[in-house]
Amino acid sequence: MQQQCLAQEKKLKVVKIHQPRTIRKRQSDEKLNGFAPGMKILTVDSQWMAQYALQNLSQLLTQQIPVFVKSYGINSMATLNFRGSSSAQSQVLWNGVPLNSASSGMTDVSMLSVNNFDQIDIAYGGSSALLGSGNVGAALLLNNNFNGIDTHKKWQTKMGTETGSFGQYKLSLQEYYSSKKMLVSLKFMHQQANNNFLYEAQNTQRIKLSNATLQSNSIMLNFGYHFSPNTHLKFSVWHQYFNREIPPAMFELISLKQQEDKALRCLLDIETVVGKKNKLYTKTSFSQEGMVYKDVAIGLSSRNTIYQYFQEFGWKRQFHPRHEFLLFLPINVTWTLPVNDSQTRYQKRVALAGAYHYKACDNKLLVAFNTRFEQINTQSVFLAGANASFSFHPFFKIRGNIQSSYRAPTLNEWYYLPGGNINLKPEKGWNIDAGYELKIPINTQWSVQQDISIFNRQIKDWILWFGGSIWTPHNIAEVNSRGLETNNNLIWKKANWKIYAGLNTSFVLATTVQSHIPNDGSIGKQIPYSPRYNGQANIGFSFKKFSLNYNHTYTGYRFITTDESQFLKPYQTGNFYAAFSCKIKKLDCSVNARYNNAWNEIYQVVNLRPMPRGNWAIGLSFVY
Amino acid sequence: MVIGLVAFSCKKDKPNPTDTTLPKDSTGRVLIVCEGSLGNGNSELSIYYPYKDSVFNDVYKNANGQSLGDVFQSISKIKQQYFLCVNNSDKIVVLDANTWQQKATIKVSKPRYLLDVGHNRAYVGSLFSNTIFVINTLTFSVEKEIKMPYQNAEGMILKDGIAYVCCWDTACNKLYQINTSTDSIIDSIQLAGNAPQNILLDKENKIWVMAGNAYKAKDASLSRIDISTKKIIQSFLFSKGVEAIKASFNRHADTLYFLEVNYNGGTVNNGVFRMPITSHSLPDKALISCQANQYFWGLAIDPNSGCIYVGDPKGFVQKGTVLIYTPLAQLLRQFNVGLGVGSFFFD
Repeated sequence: MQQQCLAQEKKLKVVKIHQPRTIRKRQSDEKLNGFAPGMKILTVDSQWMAQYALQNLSQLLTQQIPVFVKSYGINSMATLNFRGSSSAQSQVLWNGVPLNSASSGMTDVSMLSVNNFDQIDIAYGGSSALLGSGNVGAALLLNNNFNGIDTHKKWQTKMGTETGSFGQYKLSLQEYYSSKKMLVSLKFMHQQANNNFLYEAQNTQRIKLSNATLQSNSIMLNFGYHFSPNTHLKFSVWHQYFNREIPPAMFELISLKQQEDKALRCLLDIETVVGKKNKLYTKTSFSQEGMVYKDVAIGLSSRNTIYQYFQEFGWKRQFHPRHEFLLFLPINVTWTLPVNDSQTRYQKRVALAGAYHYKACDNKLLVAFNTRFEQINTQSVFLAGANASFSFHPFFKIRGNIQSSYRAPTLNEWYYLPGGNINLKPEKGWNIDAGYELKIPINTQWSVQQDISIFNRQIKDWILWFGGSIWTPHNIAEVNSRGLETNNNLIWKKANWKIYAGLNTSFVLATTVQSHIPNDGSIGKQIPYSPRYNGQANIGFSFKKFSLNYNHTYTGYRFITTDESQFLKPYQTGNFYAAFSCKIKKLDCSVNARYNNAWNEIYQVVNLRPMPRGNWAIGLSFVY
Repeated sequence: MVIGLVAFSCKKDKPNPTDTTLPKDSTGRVLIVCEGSLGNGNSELSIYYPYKDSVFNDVYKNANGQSLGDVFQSISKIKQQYFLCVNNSDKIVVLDANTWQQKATIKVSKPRYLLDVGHNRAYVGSLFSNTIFVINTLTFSVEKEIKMPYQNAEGMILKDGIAYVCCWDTACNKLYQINTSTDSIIDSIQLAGNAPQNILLDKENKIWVMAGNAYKAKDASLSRIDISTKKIIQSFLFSKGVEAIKASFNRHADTLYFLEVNYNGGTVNNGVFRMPITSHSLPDKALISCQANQYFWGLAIDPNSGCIYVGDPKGFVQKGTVLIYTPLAQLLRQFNVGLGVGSFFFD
C-alpha cells in the first residue's frame, strides 16, 4: 500500500497553486465598507461582468439589474432610473468620484464599457449623507482594482474582439503588470458601428435607420503603489472619445445631427494607516468633459466644456473593537461657460460629514449613523441617516435604512441660457427601506438566494423642466416613490454541471402627491418614464467549458406625460448567450455568440426612438 | 417570489383607453393646435364645438393611425383642405376637411406659418433658414424658394397682392414686402424694434407688427404702420425683459389682444393684455392674469362671439387646458386638449 502511494507520488507532477494573497473587499469605497451595513448593496456577479465585458453598461443593467434604463435609441443617451428617481437623481461614482455631468446631472451609461471596471456595485437607498448630492434612488459604483498587488502573475495580456449585426465591431486590449509593490493596468477599447438596422415606421413601412454611425475609443491607465505596508497610492487617468451620429426620431424625415464627446479624468488617491487604529486618506480628482453638438440642417454648432475638481480628505478611527467613526471633508467645484453665456458659471459644494459604526451581539448587529452639512454656493443643507442589519443566522439577515436624500441643482438648471433658474432650491426628502437577504445551501448541490426590499421615499421641491420653446426648471412637485424589489436565484451544481435560474422583479409606484401648477393633472399619477413593473429572468447552464444563458426582460407601461395621458406599451426581449472556453498552452481562449431580441420585439424605450429587432454578435477573447 | 408576484398583480398597469371618435360636423368648429413638447413627437389636433360644448382630441391620430409629428406650429385652410405645419418634423400635412384623412405631405424644412397667396400657391416661412418656400396647393409640391435677407420668416399677411413678411431674426428690424406675382422682394419698412414676429391688419387698414425676443435681449415692441406711406405712425416699447407674443384682433379689428409670458413662474407681466387700436400707451394691467407657475401660450378671439380663447400648456408635460372667457374676462368654461395648446383656428 505504502509502495503504491509512493509510486503514485512519483507520477504526480509538482503543481503550484497560486492564490492572490489580497482579499477583495466587497466595495472599494471606504464609506460603504464600514458605514452602510443596513443598505442594500448589489454587486454585479462576475458571470455577468464576463458575459457583458464588451458591452456598455446600458445593456448590462437593462438585462440583469432591476433598474429602468431610459435609452433614447441607438447612439443616443441612456440614463438611469432607480426606484422611480429621475436620471439626475441616480448617482454614478467612479472610484468614489462623481461621474454625473455637472451640467445636466445625468450620466450617459451608454458611454461606459463594462470592461473598463473591475467591480460594479449598486447601493440602493439614497444615502446622500454618505455619498453626496444626487444619491436619491441609488448609486452606481464603478470601481477599479488597485489591490491586486503581489498576485502570482507579473504580466497579463487580455484581448477581446466582437463583431455583429449592423457593422458592429469592438476591440479591447488590456495589459496588466504586477509586482510586490505595484500594479499597473492599461485598458484600451475601440467601438464602431453603422447601426443601419431596419425598423417599422408609423405607417408600417420598413425603413433603414440612417445617420447612426458610431466611433469611439477609450483608454484607461490604473496605477497602484505600496510605499509601505501602511501607505498606498492609487492613480488613474481615463480618456474617452465618442463620435456619434444621432439618427432621426420617427417623427423626423432625416437627421444630420452629430455629437462628439471627449472626457479626460484623473484621480489620485493616497491612504495611510497611522498606528493600529487610524486611517487617513485623500482623494483628488480633476475632469474635463467636452461636447460638440452639430446639426447641419439648422446651422447649429454648440460647444460646451465642463470642468470638475473633486477633493476629499478622510479620517477613520477605530477607538474600540465595537466602535468606529469616519470624518470626511468632500469638496466639489464644477464650472463651465454655458452656451450663449458670456461668463463662466461655478458651483462650489463643500461638506463636512461624519459616520459612526457600532457592532454588537458578536457582530450580528451592525448599526451606522451618518450626518452631513453641505454648503452649495450660498445654499446649505443638513442631512442625516441611520441604517442597521441583524444576522439571525449566517443564512439570513435583515436590514433597515433611513436616510435623508438631496440633489443640488445642476449648472444647467441654474444658468442655462435661455431658461436657467437661479432661484432653484435643492430637491430634498427622506428615504426608508428595509429588506432581508436569504442564502440557503439546501444541500451540497442546491442553493437558494433571495433578497427582498421594500422602500418608501418622499421628495420635495422636485425639479421639473417646463416649456415649449423655452424650457425652464422649477421646484414644482412633491413625489412619493414606494415599491418592492426581489432578487431570486436557484442554483444546482454537480461535478462539471451548473444549472441556474434567476428572477429579478421591481414594482415601483412613483406618483406626484403635491404640485404648485394650477389645475395640475399629475396628482396621483405615475411620473414619466418610470415603469411600474420591470423584471428580468435568467436561465442557463454550464458544462465543463461550455455555457449557455437565456435572458428575458420585461418593461411595463411608461408614461410620456405627467398626467398619464400618453404612454408607451410594455415590451419584452429575449436574449441568448453561449460561450466556449479552452486552453492552448498558456493561452486561455474563449469564443462566444449572442443573439439579442431573439423574438423580434418591435419596441421603443423612449417615444418614437426605434430599437433594433433581432441582432447577433460573435466574439473571441484571449488571456495570456 | 410569491411577494413579488403579489406586488405585480396589485396595481393595474394598463391605462384607460382613449376616445377615438372623430368629429363629423364641419360647421362652427374651432381647431386647436396642440404643439406637443419639443423632441417628443406628441403634437395633436383637437377640435371644439362651442355650440355643443364638445371636444375631440387626437383627431389626426384617430383618423390616420399615426402621430402627427413634432411641434405642430400652425393651421391654415385652403379649399376644404387643412394645411398643418409640423415644424420639427419638416413637413406640411394636408388633411381633407371633411374626413380628416391625410391627402398629402409636403417636405419643407422647419415650416412655421403658411400664407395663401392665390392662384394655387402659398408661402411657407421656415425656422433657421432665410427661405420662404412657395408651394403648389394643388400638386402639393414646392415650386420655388424666395431668399430673404434674414432667417426665420414668421408672421405674414397678404394685402393687395403684396405679402408683408416678418423675419424673426434678432438682427432684423424691417418688414419686407414681396410682390406675389413675381415672388420678389420689392421694399422694406422700418420697425420700432428687432425680431418681428406677428403681423396683423386693423380695421383702419393699418399694419401692426409685434417684435422682440426677450431671451436674446431684444426688447418687445409694437409698431403701427401706414401701408400707403410705409411709415410707423405709432410705436410702443415694452419694458426690458418682457416677452410679448401671439397678438390677435377681435372681430372688428379695433382691439388688440396679446400675451405677456413669464417663464420663471412669477405673476408679473404674465397674462392676457388688451388695448384699443387708438390707445397711445401699452396696457399696464393684465385683463386676465396668470397664477404663479402658470403662463398662457395660445390666444385667439372668437370672431362670432368675441369670446377670448386662452391656451394653458401646463408646462408642456401634460394635457393643456383651453380657457374660454367672455369679452369682459369672465371665465365661461374650460376643458382639456392635447399637449402644448398654442393657437386656435375658427372654421
